[in-house]
Amino acid sequence: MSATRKEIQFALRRPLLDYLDAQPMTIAAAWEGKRFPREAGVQYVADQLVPSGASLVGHARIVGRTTLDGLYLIQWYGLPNTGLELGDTADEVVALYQAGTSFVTSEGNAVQIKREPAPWSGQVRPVDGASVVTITVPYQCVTLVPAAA
Amino acid sequence: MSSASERNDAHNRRTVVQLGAMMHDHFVGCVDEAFRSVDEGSEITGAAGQPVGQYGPGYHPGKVGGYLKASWQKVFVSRDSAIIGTNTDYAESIEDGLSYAHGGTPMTLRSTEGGFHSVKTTVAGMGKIRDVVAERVKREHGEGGAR
Repeated sequence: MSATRKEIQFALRRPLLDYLDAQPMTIAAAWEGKRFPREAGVQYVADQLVPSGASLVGHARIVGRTTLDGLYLIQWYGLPNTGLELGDTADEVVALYQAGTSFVTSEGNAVQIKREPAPWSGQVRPVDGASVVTITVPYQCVTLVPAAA
Repeated sequence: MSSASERNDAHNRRTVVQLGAMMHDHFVGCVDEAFRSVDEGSEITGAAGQPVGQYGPGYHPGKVGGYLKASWQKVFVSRDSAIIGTNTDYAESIEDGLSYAHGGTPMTLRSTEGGFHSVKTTVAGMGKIRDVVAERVKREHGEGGAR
């Protein structure tokens, strides 16, 4: 069976959760689909999975592979007026997702971080009461497809 | 009657000219497909394209958007470079799905077509665009290209 989006998202979220656990300050998580009223003085992290296509390699009547492509997006709301700090954080988060690294999902499928293009972080944008940066992690999930009956 | 060496030289010249034409067609095709992916959406990259269409209930119901979509431009600045861009101020908000004018709050998609993240999805899918366009160019120039 092809990997589910939840399975892929949880596998990609795991290194981020470990990173958040290791931080000395509280960072609130605002995971996809849930509204989050921001509090002053608290950093927030949100993530999204943006699936962008699937392709079957091989014939459906023999064992083939399905590749699922997409983007894992992390949006980090840092504290306002903290200079370059959020940029440093973005670099550290990008480093969690080295190009070519694979993460195993709960169902045993492999999610690989793409090399071309490798993960990148965008500009740090100052907004009312915060600074925001988006980190983009392109991934590919390859699953074996059993032969059709 | 030409010698074998002269025929080889002529063949090599034709090959170089045809390869140059194929590379140019490939570049132009990639730019066209990338622009389509960002603006219209693409089955190659999976990008949704720019939001457009009738707004739903509660937000200018029945009004049709399209300003941002129409603002995207594709400009060839030289034989081997092109720019795809827009000067619409809220384009980055639509790209990231965050309203930078309102504290970076997540946006709600209200259009019937298109979506967010089309530029990022296109960038991530450029490898597929290159492959698809290469196959098309090979077909147009004869399978295998220069002979």
